[in-house]
Amino acid sequence: MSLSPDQIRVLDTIRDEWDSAETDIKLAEQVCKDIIVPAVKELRYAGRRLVDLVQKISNEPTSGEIPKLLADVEFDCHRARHDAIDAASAKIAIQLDIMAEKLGYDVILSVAPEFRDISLKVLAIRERVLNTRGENRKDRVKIYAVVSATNFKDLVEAYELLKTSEPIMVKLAKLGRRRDFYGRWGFWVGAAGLLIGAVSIYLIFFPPHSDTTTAPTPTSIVAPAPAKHG
Amino acid sequence: MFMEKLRELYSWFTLADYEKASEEATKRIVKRYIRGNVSGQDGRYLNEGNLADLSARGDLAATRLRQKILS
Repeated sequence: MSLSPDQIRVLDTIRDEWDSAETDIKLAEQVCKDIIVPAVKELRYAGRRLVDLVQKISNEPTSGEIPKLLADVEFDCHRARHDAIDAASAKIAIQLDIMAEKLGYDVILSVAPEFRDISLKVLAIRERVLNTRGENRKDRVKIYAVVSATNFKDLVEAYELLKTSEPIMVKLAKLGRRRDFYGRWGFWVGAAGLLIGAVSIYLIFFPPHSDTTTAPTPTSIVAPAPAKHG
Repeated sequence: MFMEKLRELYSWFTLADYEKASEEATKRIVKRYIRGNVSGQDGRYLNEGNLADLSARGDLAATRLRQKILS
């Protein structure tokens, strides 16, 4: 089988796309801690088309189907990358949202000032991914817009770096919560002490009057002893 | 104990026990034969449904994050 220079160039492109897809799938798995099956399936479809392509080049080198198969293989690789980026960026967005909600900005920004930058990058990706829902999933231009404009590797590296600071952030947030808790309880204990003190002072200076018209004591109602006769 | 028996009876009645056994057997075989991938061996994977769910949750989180970051 002999390939023309054009065909060799296209195969080179496919190899590069395949490499990128594999890299992105591995990165997504690293972020999600799960295999992203839809992305792997897209690569499987690409593999099937590649076999057809090689067979076509070998048997009918001038077939008009060859450019179509090439485009399909490339698109399958893009879709594989798209699914990997979708999964990982969703996971990162969820994690960043939880961090902002539970740890607080003072803690996060004191440990990882790059938090805002990473968040903005993820938001930009999610916006592009949102445009590829439903029917737009077949839109090659929109799918390509997600994979081409995304520096996915840099984002994952920045996120992993942020995650290494997570234990420090958690410790600081714990300290903050304790301080907050003791601060609040300190206020209420102080307020209660003040109230008790005020009541005590009042009782010292204005003691309650003792009531003298009390009921007769039991001794006063004891019957007198009978007089002795004789 | 009683509730467990009741659940078993319900599974038997609705044939859910068959579905569950079949699913577990598939998972066991996949885990055994998926070589070279720790996540797969641990049975951790996202199928189409899981990915759609994760993606939807990611969109919600992104909306909240946008409000927090840009407000």
